[in-house]
Amino acid sequence: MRNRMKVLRAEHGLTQADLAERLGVVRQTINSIELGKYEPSLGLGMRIAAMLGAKVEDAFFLE
Amino acid sequence: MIQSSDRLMVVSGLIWAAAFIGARLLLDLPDLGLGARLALAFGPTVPFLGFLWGAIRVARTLDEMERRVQLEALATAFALTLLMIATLALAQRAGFAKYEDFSYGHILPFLLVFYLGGRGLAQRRYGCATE
Repeated sequence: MRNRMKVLRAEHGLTQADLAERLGVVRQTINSIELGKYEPSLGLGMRIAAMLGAKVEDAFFLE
Repeated sequence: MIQSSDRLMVVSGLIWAAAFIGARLLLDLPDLGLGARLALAFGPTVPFLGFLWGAIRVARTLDEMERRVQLEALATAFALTLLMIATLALAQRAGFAKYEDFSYGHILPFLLVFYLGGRGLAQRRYGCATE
């Protein structure tokens, strides 16, 4: 699974630490998801998409 | 920032380690009474309860990826420790190892090494090893 988190995050002017704090996770988790090394749960994926003002299918997609 | 659950786990873990080492040394003394031997053998379990409670509280504060890393680390440590015990049992039965040379007390450091190794592999897998 791939994602557009880094682009969406940059559009909102958020750092990884900012996003992590708002989601209640550690920054390493955001980094791992952006790198495609960790696939978030459905709940966390939906919260990430909502936080970045995008639909889940626009933020995350299958290769 | 260190949270109270982290502090409880670390402090009680250190107290338990000190109590364990102290009891281990004192149990080598000759002429210890039954009461003293009982206290030294089972006394360290009290601070360990604090460590256990702290560890559970810390686990509850972890996010989903941190829990995945810990799960893989513990699974690795559990499986490798099981393998080591089973292999040593067979080796002893085959006459290659003696109980006196390798017993319960020696498993503790290996368990720690297996856990740290498993955690390192999991952190590398999820790209947070150097974070």
